[in-house]
Amino acid sequence: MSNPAHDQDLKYQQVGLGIVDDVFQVVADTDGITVNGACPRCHGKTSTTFPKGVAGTKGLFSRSRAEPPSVAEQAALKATETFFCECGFAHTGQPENTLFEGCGAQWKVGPGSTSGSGIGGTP
Amino acid sequence: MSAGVDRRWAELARELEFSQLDQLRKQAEGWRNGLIGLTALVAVLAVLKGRDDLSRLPSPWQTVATSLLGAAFLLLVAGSLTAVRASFGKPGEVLHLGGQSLRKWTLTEIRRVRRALYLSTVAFACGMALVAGALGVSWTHTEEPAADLVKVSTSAGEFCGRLVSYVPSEVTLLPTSGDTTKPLVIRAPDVRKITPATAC
Repeated sequence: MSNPAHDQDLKYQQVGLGIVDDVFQVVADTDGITVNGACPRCHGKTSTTFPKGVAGTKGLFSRSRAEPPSVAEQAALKATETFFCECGFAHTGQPENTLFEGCGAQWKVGPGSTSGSGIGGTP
Repeated sequence: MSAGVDRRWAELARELEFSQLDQLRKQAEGWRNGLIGLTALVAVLAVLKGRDDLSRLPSPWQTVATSLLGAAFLLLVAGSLTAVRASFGKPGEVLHLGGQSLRKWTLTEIRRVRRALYLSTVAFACGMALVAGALGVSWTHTEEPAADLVKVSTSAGEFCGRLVSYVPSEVTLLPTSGDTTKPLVIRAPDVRKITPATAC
Protein backbone atom coordinates (compact mmCIF):
# COMPACT_ATOMS: atom_id res chain seq x y z
CA MET A 1 0.00 0.00 0.00
CA SER A 2 1.45 3.35 -1.01
CA ASN A 3 1.51 6.24 1.40
CA PRO A 4 -0.76 9.21 0.58
CA ALA A 5 1.00 12.26 -0.84
CA HIS A 6 1.78 15.24 1.36
CA ASP A 7 -1.27 17.53 1.18
CA GLN A 8 0.42 20.92 1.03
CA ASP A 9 -2.83 22.74 0.26
CA LEU A 10 -4.20 21.89 3.68
CA LYS A 11 -4.63 25.01 5.82
CA TYR A 12 -2.86 25.25 9.16
CA GLN A 13 -5.14 24.39 12.04
CA GLN A 14 -4.32 23.43 15.60
CA VAL A 15 -6.38 20.29 15.81
CA GLY A 16 -6.13 17.28 18.09
CA LEU A 17 -6.40 13.95 16.29
CA GLY A 18 -6.64 11.88 19.48
CA ILE A 19 -4.93 8.51 19.54
CA VAL A 20 -3.67 7.30 16.17
CA ASP A 21 -2.27 3.97 14.96
CA ASP A 22 1.36 3.37 15.73
CA VAL A 23 2.99 3.66 12.32
CA PHE A 24 6.00 5.49 13.66
CA GLN A 25 9.63 4.46 13.81
CA VAL A 26 11.78 5.16 16.83
CA VAL A 27 15.49 5.78 16.55
CA ALA A 28 17.49 6.16 19.74
CA ASP A 29 21.06 6.98 20.62
CA THR A 30 22.93 8.40 23.58
CA ASP A 31 21.80 11.92 22.74
CA GLY A 32 18.07 11.25 22.65
CA ILE A 33 15.10 9.56 21.02
CA THR A 34 13.70 10.45 17.59
CA VAL A 35 10.24 9.40 16.39
CA ASN A 36 9.75 9.39 12.61
CA GLY A 37 6.62 8.88 10.56
CA ALA A 38 3.92 10.59 8.54
CA CYS A 39 1.54 13.21 9.88
CA PRO A 40 -1.92 11.61 10.10
CA ARG A 41 -3.49 14.86 8.83
CA CYS A 42 -1.34 16.24 6.02
CA HIS A 43 0.67 13.03 5.44
CA GLY A 44 3.95 14.94 5.33
CA LYS A 45 7.05 13.28 6.75
CA THR A 46 7.40 14.33 10.37
CA SER A 47 10.23 13.79 12.78
CA THR A 48 10.26 14.67 16.46
CA THR A 49 13.41 14.48 18.55
CA PHE A 50 13.44 14.30 22.34
CA PRO A 51 17.01 15.18 23.25
CA LYS A 52 18.45 14.50 26.66
CA GLY A 53 18.63 17.70 28.62
CA VAL A 54 18.82 19.16 32.09
CA ALA A 55 15.82 18.56 34.34
CA GLY A 56 15.27 14.84 35.08
CA THR A 57 17.22 12.78 37.55
CA LYS A 58 19.87 10.17 37.00
CA GLY A 59 22.18 11.20 39.82
CA LEU A 60 25.41 13.14 39.92
CA PHE A 61 27.60 10.38 38.50
CA SER A 62 25.10 8.60 36.30
CA ARG A 63 26.41 5.50 34.62
CA SER A 64 23.54 5.44 32.17
CA ARG A 65 24.45 8.84 30.77
CA ALA A 66 26.57 7.34 28.00
CA GLU A 67 24.15 4.53 27.23
CA PRO A 68 21.30 4.76 24.72
CA PRO A 69 17.80 4.56 26.20
CA SER A 70 16.39 1.07 26.68
CA VAL A 71 13.64 -0.33 24.48
CA ALA A 72 11.20 0.01 27.36
CA GLU A 73 12.18 3.65 27.81
CA GLN A 74 11.68 4.31 24.10
CA ALA A 75 8.28 2.61 24.12
CA ALA A 76 7.22 4.51 27.25
CA LEU A 77 8.19 7.83 25.70
CA LYS A 78 6.31 7.08 22.49
CA ALA A 79 3.24 6.04 24.44
CA THR A 80 3.14 9.06 26.72
CA GLU A 81 4.29 11.99 24.61
CA THR A 82 2.05 14.16 22.46
CA PHE A 83 3.31 14.53 18.89
CA PHE A 84 2.91 17.55 16.65
CA CYS A 85 3.09 17.75 12.89
CA GLU A 86 6.62 18.80 12.01
CA CYS A 87 6.53 18.22 8.29
CA GLY A 88 8.55 21.39 7.83
CA PHE A 89 6.13 22.87 5.29
CA ALA A 90 4.66 26.26 6.08
CA HIS A 91 0.96 25.48 5.63
CA THR A 92 -1.26 28.45 4.92
CA GLY A 93 -2.17 30.32 8.08
CA GLN A 94 0.73 29.01 10.14
CA PRO A 95 1.67 31.44 12.95
CA GLU A 96 5.07 33.05 12.57
CA ASN A 97 6.41 32.11 15.95
CA THR A 98 5.32 28.48 16.13
CA LEU A 99 7.82 25.96 17.46
CA PHE A 100 6.30 23.15 15.38
CA GLU A 101 6.42 23.88 11.68
CA GLY A 102 3.65 21.86 10.04
CA CYS A 103 -0.07 21.66 9.54
CA GLY A 104 -0.91 22.18 13.24
CA ALA A 105 -2.12 18.64 13.98
CA GLN A 106 -1.28 16.91 17.25
CA TRP A 107 -1.83 13.32 18.30
CA LYS A 108 -0.86 10.56 20.65
CA VAL A 109 0.34 7.16 19.54
CA GLY A 110 -1.85 4.26 20.57
CA PRO A 111 -0.46 1.10 22.13
CA GLY A 112 -0.69 -2.36 20.55
CA SER A 113 -1.06 -1.27 16.96
CA THR A 114 -0.77 -3.64 14.09
CA SER A 115 2.02 -2.28 11.97
CA GLY A 116 5.20 -0.41 11.84
CA SER A 117 5.87 0.07 15.54
CA GLY A 118 9.57 -0.09 14.96
CA ILE A 119 11.65 0.62 18.01
CA GLY A 120 15.28 0.56 17.28
CA GLY A 121 18.71 1.31 18.58
CA THR A 122 21.47 3.45 17.26
CA PRO A 123 20.97 4.20 13.57
CA MET B 1 -5.55 17.15 29.43
CA SER B 2 -6.56 19.64 26.75
CA ALA B 3 -4.73 19.93 23.44
CA GLY B 4 -3.69 23.48 24.33
CA VAL B 5 -2.04 22.39 27.57
CA ASP B 6 -0.24 19.56 25.77
CA ARG B 7 1.05 22.04 23.22
CA ARG B 8 2.20 24.43 25.95
CA TRP B 9 4.18 21.70 27.71
CA ALA B 10 5.73 20.60 24.43
CA GLU B 11 6.71 24.19 23.62
CA LEU B 12 8.21 24.58 27.08
CA ALA B 13 10.30 21.42 26.60
CA ARG B 14 11.48 22.62 23.21
CA GLU B 15 12.47 26.03 24.58
CA LEU B 16 14.29 24.32 27.43
CA GLU B 17 16.49 22.60 24.88
CA PHE B 18 17.98 25.96 23.96
CA SER B 19 18.36 27.36 27.46
CA GLN B 20 20.08 24.43 29.12
CA LEU B 21 23.44 26.12 29.55
CA ASP B 22 21.85 29.15 31.22
CA GLN B 23 19.90 26.84 33.50
CA LEU B 24 23.05 24.94 34.45
CA ARG B 25 24.99 28.13 35.08
CA LYS B 26 22.22 29.43 37.36
CA GLN B 27 22.17 26.09 39.17
CA ALA B 28 25.95 26.16 39.62
CA GLU B 29 25.75 29.75 40.88
CA GLY B 30 23.11 28.75 43.42
CA TRP B 31 25.13 25.83 44.67
CA ARG B 32 28.23 28.00 44.94
CA ASN B 33 26.34 30.53 47.08
CA GLY B 34 24.89 27.73 49.16
CA LEU B 35 28.30 26.25 49.86
CA ILE B 36 29.68 29.68 50.78
CA GLY B 37 26.80 30.02 53.24
CA LEU B 38 27.69 26.63 54.65
CA THR B 39 31.26 27.75 55.22
CA ALA B 40 29.93 30.80 57.08
CA LEU B 41 27.78 28.49 59.18
CA VAL B 42 30.83 26.52 60.26
CA ALA B 43 32.55 29.77 61.26
CA VAL B 44 29.49 30.90 63.25
CA LEU B 45 29.33 27.58 65.05
CA ALA B 46 32.99 27.89 65.92
CA VAL B 47 32.28 31.30 67.50
CA LEU B 48 29.12 30.19 69.29
CA LYS B 49 30.56 27.02 70.72
CA GLY B 50 30.78 28.37 74.24
CA ARG B 51 32.89 30.39 76.61
CA ASP B 52 36.42 30.18 75.21
CA ASP B 53 36.33 26.42 74.90
CA LEU B 54 34.68 23.37 76.35
CA SER B 55 37.73 22.14 78.19
CA ARG B 56 36.73 23.96 81.38
CA LEU B 57 33.53 21.95 81.67
CA PRO B 58 33.57 19.20 84.26
CA SER B 59 33.61 15.65 83.04
CA PRO B 60 30.02 14.63 82.18
CA TRP B 61 29.00 18.06 80.90
CA GLN B 62 31.93 18.31 78.53
CA THR B 63 30.72 15.16 76.74
CA VAL B 64 27.11 16.41 76.75
CA ALA B 65 28.01 19.80 75.28
CA THR B 66 30.32 18.28 72.67
CA SER B 67 27.65 15.79 71.61
CA LEU B 68 25.01 18.52 71.37
CA LEU B 69 27.29 20.67 69.23
CA GLY B 70 28.25 17.75 67.01
CA ALA B 71 24.62 16.81 66.42
CA ALA B 72 23.70 20.48 65.82
CA PHE B 73 26.49 20.83 63.31
CA LEU B 74 25.36 17.76 61.37
CA LEU B 75 21.71 18.90 61.40
CA LEU B 76 22.55 22.42 60.23
CA VAL B 77 24.81 21.16 57.45
CA ALA B 78 22.16 18.66 56.31
CA GLY B 79 19.46 21.34 56.51
CA SER B 80 21.53 23.79 54.48
CA LEU B 81 22.30 21.25 51.78
CA THR B 82 18.64 20.23 51.61
CA ALA B 83 17.58 23.87 51.27
CA VAL B 84 20.11 24.45 48.49
CA ARG B 85 18.87 21.32 46.75
CA ALA B 86 15.29 22.59 47.03
CA SER B 87 16.24 25.98 45.62
CA PHE B 88 18.52 24.98 42.79
CA GLY B 89 17.73 21.34 42.02
CA LYS B 90 20.01 18.37 41.86
CA PRO B 91 23.14 18.89 39.77
CA GLY B 92 23.59 16.67 36.75
CA GLU B 93 19.95 15.82 36.21
CA VAL B 94 18.88 14.92 32.66
CA LEU B 95 15.70 13.69 30.99
CA HIS B 96 14.27 13.44 27.49
CA LEU B 97 12.92 16.88 26.69
CA GLY B 98 9.38 16.07 25.67
CA GLY B 99 6.28 17.89 26.88
CA GLN B 100 4.84 15.00 28.86
CA SER B 101 8.22 13.95 30.27
CA LEU B 102 8.77 17.52 31.41
CA ARG B 103 5.29 17.70 32.91
CA LYS B 104 5.79 14.42 34.80
CA TRP B 105 9.21 15.52 36.03
CA THR B 106 7.82 18.91 37.10
CA LEU B 107 5.10 17.29 39.21
CA THR B 108 7.66 14.97 40.82
CA GLU B 109 10.04 17.87 41.42
CA ILE B 110 7.30 19.89 43.11
CA ARG B 111 6.82 17.05 45.60
CA ARG B 112 10.58 16.78 46.14
CA VAL B 113 10.99 20.52 46.71
CA ARG B 114 8.12 20.65 49.19
CA ARG B 115 9.59 17.72 51.13
CA ALA B 116 13.10 19.22 51.02
CA LEU B 117 11.82 22.56 52.33
CA TYR B 118 10.00 20.85 55.19
CA LEU B 119 13.06 18.75 56.07
CA SER B 120 15.43 21.72 55.95
CA THR B 121 13.14 23.72 58.24
CA VAL B 122 12.93 20.87 60.75
CA ALA B 123 16.70 20.32 60.59
CA PHE B 124 17.36 24.03 61.12
CA ALA B 125 14.99 24.25 64.11
CA CYS B 126 16.44 21.13 65.74
CA GLY B 127 20.00 22.26 65.01
CA MET B 128 19.44 25.66 66.61
CA ALA B 129 17.76 24.04 69.62
CA LEU B 130 20.80 21.82 70.09
CA VAL B 131 23.16 24.82 69.78
CA ALA B 132 21.10 26.61 72.42
CA GLY B 133 21.27 23.53 74.63
CA ALA B 134 25.04 23.31 74.25
CA LEU B 135 25.34 27.03 75.07
CA GLY B 136 23.18 26.54 78.16
CA VAL B 137 25.33 23.68 79.36
CA SER B 138 28.47 25.66 78.66
CA TRP B 139 27.29 28.77 80.52
CA THR B 140 25.85 27.00 83.51
CA HIS B 141 28.56 24.43 84.12
CA THR B 142 31.81 26.13 83.19
CA GLU B 143 33.96 26.53 86.29
CA GLU B 144 35.84 29.71 86.85
CA PRO B 145 39.51 28.97 87.52
CA ALA B 146 40.45 29.93 91.05
CA ALA B 147 43.48 32.13 90.99
CA ASP B 148 44.79 31.06 94.35
CA LEU B 149 44.48 27.28 94.13
CA VAL B 150 47.80 25.49 94.50
CA LYS B 151 49.13 21.97 94.68
CA VAL B 152 51.84 21.38 97.25
CA SER B 153 54.06 18.34 96.84
CA THR B 154 55.69 17.07 100.01
CA SER B 155 57.55 13.95 101.07
CA ALA B 156 54.30 12.76 102.67
CA GLY B 157 52.16 13.30 99.58
CA GLU B 158 50.35 15.98 97.61
CA PHE B 159 48.00 18.58 99.09
CA CYS B 160 45.67 20.88 97.20
CA GLY B 161 43.80 23.93 98.39
CA ARG B 162 43.55 27.68 98.51
CA LEU B 163 46.82 29.34 99.44
CA VAL B 164 46.32 31.32 102.63
CA SER B 165 49.89 32.23 103.52
CA TYR B 166 53.45 31.42 102.68
CA VAL B 167 56.18 32.27 105.14
CA PRO B 168 59.75 30.89 105.24
CA SER B 169 58.85 28.41 107.94
CA GLU B 170 55.52 27.09 106.66
CA VAL B 171 52.82 27.04 103.96
CA THR B 172 49.18 27.35 104.95
CA LEU B 173 46.37 25.99 102.71
CA LEU B 174 42.62 26.01 103.06
CA PRO B 175 41.29 22.67 101.71
CA THR B 176 38.50 22.83 99.11
CA SER B 177 36.98 19.53 100.20
CA GLY B 178 36.28 17.96 103.57
CA ASP B 179 36.57 20.45 106.43
CA THR B 180 37.09 23.64 104.43
CA THR B 181 37.32 25.83 107.53
CA LYS B 182 40.33 24.13 109.07
CA PRO B 183 43.64 25.42 107.63
CA LEU B 184 46.27 22.91 106.67
CA VAL B 185 49.78 23.90 107.74
CA ILE B 186 52.74 22.31 106.00
CA ARG B 187 56.26 22.80 107.28
CA ALA B 188 58.58 24.45 104.79
CA PRO B 189 61.35 21.81 104.95
CA ASP B 190 58.80 19.18 103.82
CA VAL B 191 57.74 21.18 100.76
CA ARG B 192 59.25 19.99 97.48
CA LYS B 193 57.18 21.88 94.96
CA ILE B 194 54.30 24.36 94.81
CA THR B 195 52.32 24.59 91.53
CA PRO B 196 49.22 26.57 90.60
CA ALA B 197 46.11 24.43 90.08
CA THR B 198 42.89 25.00 88.15
CA ALA B 199 40.96 22.53 90.31
CA CYS B 200 41.49 20.29 93.30
